[in-house]
Formats: sequence, structure tokens, C-alpha cells
Amino acid sequence: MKVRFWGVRGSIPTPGPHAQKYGGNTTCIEVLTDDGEQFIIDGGTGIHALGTQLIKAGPLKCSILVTHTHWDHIQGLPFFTPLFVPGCEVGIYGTFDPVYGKSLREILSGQMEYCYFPVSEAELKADVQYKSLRPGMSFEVGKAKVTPVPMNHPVLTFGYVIEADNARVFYTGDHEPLKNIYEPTDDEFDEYEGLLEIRNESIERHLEGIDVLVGDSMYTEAEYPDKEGWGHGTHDSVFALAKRVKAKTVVMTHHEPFRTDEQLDAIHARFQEERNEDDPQVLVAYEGLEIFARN
Amino acid sequence: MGLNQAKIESMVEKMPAFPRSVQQVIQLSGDINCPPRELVRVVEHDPVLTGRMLKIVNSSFFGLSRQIVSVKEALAFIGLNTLKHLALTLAAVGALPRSNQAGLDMDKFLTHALAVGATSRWIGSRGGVWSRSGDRLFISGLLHNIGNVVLALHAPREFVRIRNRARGSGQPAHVIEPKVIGTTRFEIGAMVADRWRLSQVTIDAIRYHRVSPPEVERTVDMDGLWAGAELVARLNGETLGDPTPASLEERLGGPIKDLLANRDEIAEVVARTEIFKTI
Repeated sequence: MKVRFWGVRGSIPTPGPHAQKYGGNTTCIEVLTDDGEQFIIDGGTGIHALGTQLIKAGPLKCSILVTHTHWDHIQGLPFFTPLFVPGCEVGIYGTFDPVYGKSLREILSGQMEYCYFPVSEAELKADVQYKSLRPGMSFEVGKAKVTPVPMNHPVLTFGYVIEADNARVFYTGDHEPLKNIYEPTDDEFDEYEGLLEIRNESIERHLEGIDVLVGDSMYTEAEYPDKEGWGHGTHDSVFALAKRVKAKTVVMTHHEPFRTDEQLDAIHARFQEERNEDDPQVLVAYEGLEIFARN
Repeated sequence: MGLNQAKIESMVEKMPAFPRSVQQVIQLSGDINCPPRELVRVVEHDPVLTGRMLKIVNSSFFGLSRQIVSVKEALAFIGLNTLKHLALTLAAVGALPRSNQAGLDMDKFLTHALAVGATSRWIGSRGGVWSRSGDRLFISGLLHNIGNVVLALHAPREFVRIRNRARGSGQPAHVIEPKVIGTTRFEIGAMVADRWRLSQVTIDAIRYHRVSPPEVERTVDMDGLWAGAELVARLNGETLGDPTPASLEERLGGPIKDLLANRDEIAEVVARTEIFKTI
């Protein structure tokens, strides 16, 4: 199973001199199984280049797994060329928004209203199927199995485990480690701590021994206190998660927009230096990074 | 003829008090810095609200794979934003009376209230000038006709007379009401909202959304609620019969009929509120 990164930024596309090496497009990850099942996790602006590349081989079939519908994860979808090509089959998977009561289709077609985009959803030429997912309910595409795992973000967000070719890949989507809402001196602290253990276990049981764990590492530990509650992790929190579930490789992504190439190199170097022999291999995602998930 | 002010005030006084927990949930939900533990504390102290919350979190609406048994656990699993939204909706729906003795079909009332609430919130979800108005619009929509409940409960003869005259003349009820009771159900609804200590912007939206005097500057909430109620009527092949406020067309950037292009989306948003009738 091949994993290739087409967009590695969080929040907003950030082209510029600071992002020459790692790239400035927002989240998009391609996962291709040995059988040729084509998955795309999230439709950030990176999906534009991916679509342009894919369509060169003619009409295609692919599954787009949407972790959640914040802009940086869907903004490139209207520019995904296969959507405009007859004969293409595109399955779009995700969750509904329980706060506004909107389905995935409503939200995505909303960004293709004429006031935002010149082509409406009704004018797409591909066969587009929207599929609403339930937490933890696995489904199969060809020989691949996909499991949506609810994560922790201000909107309902799914991480996805893709299992194929005897290997497993997981992307957290946007995810902030859960935190106790009580102070250690509060009576309820221990009770809530127990609930967090259960909640974490509900995520981590899907990840035990995962081959490739791709994680939201938007912030540094120093930045995090000012960003608490925004729904993102740190490099250290993703590494800790990867260690807990005994992942073989961890890939840090969803970089903070202003993070420079030099800073990302330094972060990579720090983990290379600090990791123990038994710890997961650490990679920092850049556009074009390609890895192969093998058991 | 008409009901004098003292009589109307006494009718409003007779409405059941808004549970304190509901007021607190509405206040906390409007606070973007709402401390999670405060929300948990308020919900946990209201056993009815807690029961409803757990029922919906464990329903197919969420489809969670484990049984959630406490408000704290719900917070850990569905997150603060979703919990806030659920608490707000359940608290407000739960505060509505469920029966009366004057022929007001409370099931229909609730269905309509939820439809207008959901549609108004849908308008609030459009961003721009509507930004952050969604939850307020939902509450206004849910309560926009609460004055009708007051009339049905405490002035049933007048309630029936207004209904019959409106049906016979084809005029909107709020045009008939001043002739029968000397005021409108929206004015009475605003008095109820005031008694329930809802925010002034919500009270004003209930009072003025259909018709506002020239000296009143129309707010986003008034226009959003007007649009929500009108869209629900139009989806049923009707219209409320009032002229569209100019401020609304300006805020929408076009006529309200353009929103009907989203007919299916609005219908789906409304359909999703059905579950709150059964909880």
C-alpha cells in the first residue's frame, strides 16, 4: 500500500519561500493499494495536483474519505478534475454535522454555490456518490477495509484506518488529545480521568501495531498552551500516541502555516536524535513524500 | 374589545417558569469560552434534561458503538460543541408546554416551531452578516409563536375567534389579533420571553420579526426569523403574506425566493429535528 502526501499544511495554503521544501498546500493524502484501489484522504488544496495527475490515465474510480469539513480539508475538492470528467466514479465518504444538521453532501455542495464557485454541484460530469458513515462501522472498498474512528476536534471528525495488502495506515484528521476538564483538586477529577481512559481506548484499540500513523502535529509544545481547545495536536503528542500504540512509522503533518522549512527540519532532527531504537520511525510530511506501508 | 393589559400580564404570569437550567444552558451556549465543566454541572443538575440528553446521544442519530451513561461521558465522546448544541435544543424544546385545552394541536405546534427554528438556524449558518446568529435564531424560531400557546391556554375563546376570522378572511392572524385582543401573539410571546429572561435581541426578534414599526431598526435576528418562518410556509406551498423586509433582501443579497433553490437541503435540516419531538 502506497501513501503519498499532496498537501501537508493546516488552516490555509501557504506558498512562499518558507515552504519550498515541505510545500504549502492543505491536507490531502493519497493511499493506493496493491490492487489499485485509489483512496484520497481529505480534499485540501493538495487534491488539485493529485487530480491533474490521476486523470492523465483517463477516467478513474476513487474513494475520497473526508475527515471533517473545515475549509483546509475540503477547499480543493471543487478543483478535483476527475469530478468534471464523464466516466469517473467518485465516492465521497464522511460524517454529517450534528450541530447544524447538515449532511456531507449539503456542506460540500454549499461550497459550490455560484457565489463561491462558477460550477454548481449539479453540473459535475462524474458519477459522484455521497456515503454517510457511522463511528466505528467499517466498510469495504474492493479488498480494502476502512474504519472511521471519531476523534477530538470542535466538529465531529473521523480518523480513518485503511487496511489492505496485510498492512494498516491511519490518519488522525484534526485531533487534539483529550484533557481533563477538572483540576486535580476537584472531586470529579478521577472520575473524568477514568472516562478519558475509556475514550482514548476507543481510539487506540483501532491503532495497535499500526504500520503507518499519520498525525495532526500542528503545534510545538511551546505554542500549545495558547492554542488549547482549538482541536489540534503537537509533534510530541503525536509521537506519544505512536509510541503507545506501537506504530512502526509515524508521519507528522498538518503543519502550522508559518512553520518554515528550517523549523520543520529541526523538528525532524530532534525526534531522530531523541527517539530510542524501539520507538517508531519518525517522518515529517512534505509534498511528494511517498512511503510504502508493509507489515 | 380586547384583553386589557392587566389580563395579558396575568396570562403571561401563569405560564410555567422557564427552568433555571434552561436559562443557564442558553447563557452558557452563547459563550464561546463556555467552561465545559460548568455546562456539565448545569445539565447534570437537571435530571430530565440529563435523561433526554443520554437518550439522544445513545440513539441512532449519533450511532455510537458504546452505551453512554453520564453527561461527563457524553462530553468525552461527542465533544463540547455538539454537547452545547444538544443541551440547548433539548432544553428549549423541553421547556415548551405539551398540552392545552383550547384546540391548539401541540404536536403541530412543536413540529412547526422546530421547522422554523431549524430553518432560521440554517439561515444563520450562511456566515457573513449571519455569523454566530445560528443558535439564537434557533431559539427565536422555536419560541416565535409561544404567544399562541398563552392565548390557547388562558384566552381560549379569543384564540378560537382569531383562528376562525383568519381562516374566513385569508388575512394573517397578526392582523386580526389587535381587533380581537388589542395586541398580537408576537407581543405576548415577547412578554413571555422577557419573563423567561431571554436576551433582548431574542425578545425583539419575537416581537418584531413579522412587522416592525419604522423607528425600530431591523436586526439580523428579526430578518433571520422572518426568513425562517416564510421559507417554512413556502415549502408548504404557502406564504405568510407580509411584504419582505428590505433589510432582509439586502442581507441575503437577493430575493428570498432564491433560497428555495436549497429546498431539499432545508427539508433535510427540518427532517433532522424530528428526533427532538420523540425525546
